[in-house]
Amino acid sequence: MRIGPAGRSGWLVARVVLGAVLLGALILPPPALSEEQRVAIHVGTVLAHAGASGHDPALGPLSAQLERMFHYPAYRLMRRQMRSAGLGREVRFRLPGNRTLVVVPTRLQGSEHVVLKLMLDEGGRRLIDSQVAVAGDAHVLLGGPPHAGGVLIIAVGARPVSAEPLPGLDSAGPVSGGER
Amino acid sequence: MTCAEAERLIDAFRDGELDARTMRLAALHLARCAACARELDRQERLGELLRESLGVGEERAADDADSEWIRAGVIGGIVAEAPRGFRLAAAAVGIRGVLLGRGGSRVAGEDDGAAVEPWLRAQPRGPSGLGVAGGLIALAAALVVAVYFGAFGPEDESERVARESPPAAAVAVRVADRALPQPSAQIPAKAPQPRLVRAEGRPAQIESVHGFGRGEVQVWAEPRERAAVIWLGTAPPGARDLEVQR
Repeated sequence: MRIGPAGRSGWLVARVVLGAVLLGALILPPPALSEEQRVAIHVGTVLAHAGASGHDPALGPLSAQLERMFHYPAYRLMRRQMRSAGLGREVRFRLPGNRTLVVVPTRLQGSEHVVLKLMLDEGGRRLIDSQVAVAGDAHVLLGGPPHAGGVLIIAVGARPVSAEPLPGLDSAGPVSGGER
Repeated sequence: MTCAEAERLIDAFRDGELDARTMRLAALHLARCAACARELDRQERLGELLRESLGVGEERAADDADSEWIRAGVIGGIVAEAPRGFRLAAAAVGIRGVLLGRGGSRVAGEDDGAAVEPWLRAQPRGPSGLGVAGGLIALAAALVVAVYFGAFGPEDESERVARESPPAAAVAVRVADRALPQPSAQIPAKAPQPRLVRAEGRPAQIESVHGFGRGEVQVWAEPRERAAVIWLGTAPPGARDLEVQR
């Protein structure tokens, strides 16, 4: 079957359009991620030990809470960390003794609960794999790993944060371009 | 390094927790990619806002011999004594400020720009000598690489750790709160996970626990303290009087 001049030009246009679409898919960035729900995760690492008793003022209200729940003579705040992450994104917190706390906010539950996957690794070996839910100022305490003659108590809390653009920054998405 | 990889590493980069090679790669990428530098800036600002709104203080490092414990957010006066990786991170932050036309964080004791190691400087980009064919070949190569890593790329670290971990250990449930959570039945010795009754509305609740390796894992709720506890090993002092169900 012979193809006329009109058919040839139509075929040419279709090829150009198809090529442009494929090229665009390769070059253009994916949709911006700025609208995703973010979760603020805070982790406080406390060393509970049998040394000289005393309050670490840096612990704040957590100090009295720990004393009511456990009967160690002394508590010392080793580190306080805060990160934010989108739902489904993994966040890793380095802890003493070659340990890592892996936190994945998986979903929001009700109006204020945040469901988290909590995994504690030690030297490349998993110790705990759990799923918890926290709301407001509540937290999950992950305790027991020995460290420096005492034990670590890791307090984990989370709450959803607004996805509104941050003041002072443009409204572009976090990774809306570049070498993706 | 791609934008996706850089985005995943930004938190650790901010904290100076990457190894030297990864830190260098991330710093290079952040120095050259305005979008990722903007994301780093955004993360830093978000962290500041969260600290203010939640009343959480500055991150605090222990008096610990562990050299990996590098404080975040201290690009000021102690950079000179900081490990090499952290100095590179600070230098990268300085570069980012220059590239974005804003004042970047200043590296202590040195001028912005002058503090930047030569390999870290943004490279001037002259007119490209590549033709359309070269560009298409590069795109095709990028596509092949993307497909390859999508299908055969490195295993996710969490998956690898989980796979290499020893078999699950028994979990005991200590009942501090009669209401919740409670095991629904006796837990066989080999069972890795008790069935916990979900406590709708509790401020903190444990939905599932898998313990690995030797030793016991205990979980209990402290609703009056708005907390729930997962404990590895022997019970802590103060929890002795709790009833244990296995």
